[in-house]
Amino acid sequence: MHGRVKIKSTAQQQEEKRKEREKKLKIYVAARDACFSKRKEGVCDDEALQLTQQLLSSNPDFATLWNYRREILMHLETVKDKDEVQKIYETELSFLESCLKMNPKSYGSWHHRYWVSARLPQPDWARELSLCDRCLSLDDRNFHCWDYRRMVVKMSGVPVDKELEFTDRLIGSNFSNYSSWHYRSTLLPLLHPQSPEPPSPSHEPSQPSPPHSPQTHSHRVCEEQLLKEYELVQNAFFTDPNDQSAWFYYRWLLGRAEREEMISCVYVSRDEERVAVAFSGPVIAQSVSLLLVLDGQPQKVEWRSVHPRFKHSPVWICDLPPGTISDITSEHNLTVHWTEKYTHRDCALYTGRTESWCRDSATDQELFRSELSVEKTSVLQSELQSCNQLLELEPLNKWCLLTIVLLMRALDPLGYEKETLAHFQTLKEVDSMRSAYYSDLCSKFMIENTILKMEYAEVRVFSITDKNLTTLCHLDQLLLVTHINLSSNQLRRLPPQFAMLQCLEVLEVDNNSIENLEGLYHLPKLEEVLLKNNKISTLADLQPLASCPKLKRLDLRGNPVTQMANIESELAELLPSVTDLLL
Amino acid sequence: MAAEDLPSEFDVVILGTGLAESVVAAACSRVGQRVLHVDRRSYYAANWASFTFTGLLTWIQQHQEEPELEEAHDWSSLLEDGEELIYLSNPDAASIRNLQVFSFTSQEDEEEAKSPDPPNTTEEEKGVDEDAAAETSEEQSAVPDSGEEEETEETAGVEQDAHMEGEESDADKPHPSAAQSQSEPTRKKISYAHLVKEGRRFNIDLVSKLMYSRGSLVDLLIKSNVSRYAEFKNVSRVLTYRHGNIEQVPCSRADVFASRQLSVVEKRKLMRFLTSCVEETEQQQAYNGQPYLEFLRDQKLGENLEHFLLHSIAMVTEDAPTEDGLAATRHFLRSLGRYGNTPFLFPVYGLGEIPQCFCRMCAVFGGIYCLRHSVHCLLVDKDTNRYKCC
Repeated sequence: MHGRVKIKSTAQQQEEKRKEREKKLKIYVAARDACFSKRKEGVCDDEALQLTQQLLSSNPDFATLWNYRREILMHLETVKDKDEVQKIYETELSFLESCLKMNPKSYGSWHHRYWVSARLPQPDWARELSLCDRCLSLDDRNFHCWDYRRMVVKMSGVPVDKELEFTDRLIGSNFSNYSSWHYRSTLLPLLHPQSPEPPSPSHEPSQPSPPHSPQTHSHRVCEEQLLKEYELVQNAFFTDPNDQSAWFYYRWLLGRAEREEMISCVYVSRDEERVAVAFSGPVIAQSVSLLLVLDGQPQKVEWRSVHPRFKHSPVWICDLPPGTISDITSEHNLTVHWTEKYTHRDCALYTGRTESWCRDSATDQELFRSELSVEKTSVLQSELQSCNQLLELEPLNKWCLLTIVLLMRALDPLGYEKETLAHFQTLKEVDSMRSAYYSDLCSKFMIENTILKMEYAEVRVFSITDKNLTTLCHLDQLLLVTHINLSSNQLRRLPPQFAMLQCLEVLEVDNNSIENLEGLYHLPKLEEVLLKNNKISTLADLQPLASCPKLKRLDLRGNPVTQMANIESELAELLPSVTDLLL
Repeated sequence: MAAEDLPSEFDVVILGTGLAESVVAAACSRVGQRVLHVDRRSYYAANWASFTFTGLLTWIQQHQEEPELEEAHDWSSLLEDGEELIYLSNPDAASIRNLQVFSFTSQEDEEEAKSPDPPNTTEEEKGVDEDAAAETSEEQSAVPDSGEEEETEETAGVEQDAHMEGEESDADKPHPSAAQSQSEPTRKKISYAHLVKEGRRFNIDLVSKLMYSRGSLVDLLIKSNVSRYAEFKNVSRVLTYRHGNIEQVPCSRADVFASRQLSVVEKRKLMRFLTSCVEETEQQQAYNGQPYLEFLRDQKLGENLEHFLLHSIAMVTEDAPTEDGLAATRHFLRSLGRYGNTPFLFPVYGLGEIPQCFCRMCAVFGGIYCLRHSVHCLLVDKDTNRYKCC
């Protein structure tokens, strides 16, 4: 069904076809009008059933007619006895089969079949299953059929293991099939759950119950089964490494459950009388769900995200009532309660300190390994070996390269940094259409590595220069950073997320291509901004800087904006706090 | 001619109903020639025929009884003026010899008769190539084609469920040796009587051959529309005999994926090799004239793959030149997937179907058939260039 070439017809054939079509159209339009007028009059008789049948068998995608047909059938249900209704619906099913032969991907037909099957007094699920199997044997990627089949399986209580065998069969005959692989990914956690609890017993034939909803499970699969799956999928990508479906399934297998949501950092600053809270992911914080307790007293505070653009944000800040913590000789205990998730985090601000924080570091959380599982390093190591084996045979295969990069990340992001960079270089060459994607991904990994290095060194300085960064990410992890150096990269903007750097004092971004400073928004401690050799071209681009109260030093050399007339006086007006301006 | 109202003059007289003769007969008849098609035997298809088990036994018996050569009859008495006599030789004399019947299974009638050997009835198994070659040896030997599921494993043929009247055998099982071991304890012993009794459930070809799905015969069957007279099946898997085991040959993408004998690296190498075969490259041309085996070795495919590629896919001998090996491989690959997971087709009721189908076409277009009639010599009228048959 896929990849068939359409053959062009000659002019004469086209003309004949056109005439034929005109004739058909006349009949069709007449029948359609008859149907519409009947429906208007509310007629629900056999003739209407006949008419709609004629029309739908030639055009099974006419939704209004299906609706009309359903109205008629529902009316018939009220006037006929049960056996007759059964018969009517059975005829309906065989009519639908002819529609599906006409167009096996008709939404209308499949939906109607769904509806009829659900209303049939005595449904014959075995027949429906075999219909699906027939359909899928003709086109194993017909997702309409897959959808319908899932419904049939659910209604008829086919045991999960039987369904897994079904996917075995389909994958065996053609493994280029996302639907089969995906179906497998929903079945495996049901059949072989990761948790120590015994695997769900196969359904007893006497009481077939529908499979559990996958949502109730952890989505993960036990180790033993995982190893079998690795083998299966390796067979697929060694047989045809250019087939994406197997690679995607492989990535799912290697993946890990989502991390628990929690408060990852609480930061309090005496000078600004401000509290900043970082979460493990973007959230909407409201005073109802996020409760700030200072020295045992619940505080009434207004939470706001770091930038007005964000409704969801991983970092939220609030200002304490003036004077609550400003006395340097006092000691305070803060607790932030996240009532929604029944979690909280404490933070103590000691005497003589101007700021304090309490947090989980990225290294503790294994934050950047979340894409691939780290449950068993040995397993990942052997998977990496297999992939390297494949890469030897297919040195330019992008799927293999990318998977190797991901495995290396999961195993040892810092140790494999050099290899990772080399692989990215090859990726950009062999898949130039996606070179920007690889650049962004590489930037992300470089930032992650730099964060790890920074945390091992226990410093608050983040420096990543001359690494071809194209994008910035994980900025929520830099909440405590005071000094950041991003010089000599390929950054084009400082995105709104940059406003999460609440402790930032010095920013170095010389030699980039920055046009936009949106993210330098209300950074309370920012004093120094070095923007030499960038692409700031208008005064308006510098506007965000006006919101940073402590800005003193600004280097704009080598930016187009410096060519403007009166630039000095304009800047003095825009940024009155700046005392050291380099143009 | 026996019946008076049949025509006695023809444009073409064809002797023998073998494949080639039948194709010619159909072609002549189709273009409007008056055809007389004669066969001295009582069945169609000559040495291409397929028989039921009892039919085969009868055939063997007849051949054993038949005198090697009939007494040369002197037909010169029929000669008239200006005519010359041409004797025709007996074509079968050379091709079928040394017929013997062995039975490896018990000849007793009781069902419970147990024989230590795997059950098999074999009449001179010369034609069965151990490499599961589709084109078995050219000798016209009687090759048993097993039909019973229980004996399928013993026949090292490409296809075992051949001619089973459409019945499915265990050919869909993924792994032959696994299937074998599984079925070992439950396997029924087949007695000779059982074979005779069930003899109508399978046919046996005198010549065991399969058609390439994109071979010239299949093309001819389609083009001539003779294909409508017969039913065909696609061979479900290709097996090979190696190290004392029967193994499945992975040839399609799905096979390679499912194969348990190949390591993942071998899978990749095999797929890569097969893909690279499709187009002729300079690298391949450099090996022209050198053995295909050498070419395969230089691809560093490993012994496993070499065996599959040489014996089961290209099906050439070890000293075949590279260009022949590659051509055969390409032919195999082109045929793959047209009708199924292997490149081979066979007529459901045996190969004997095919000559018969051509004969049928000949008859539909007016050809006249006459079995059990032999022609011994031709009388040629030198002046008119007309022939008479005797």
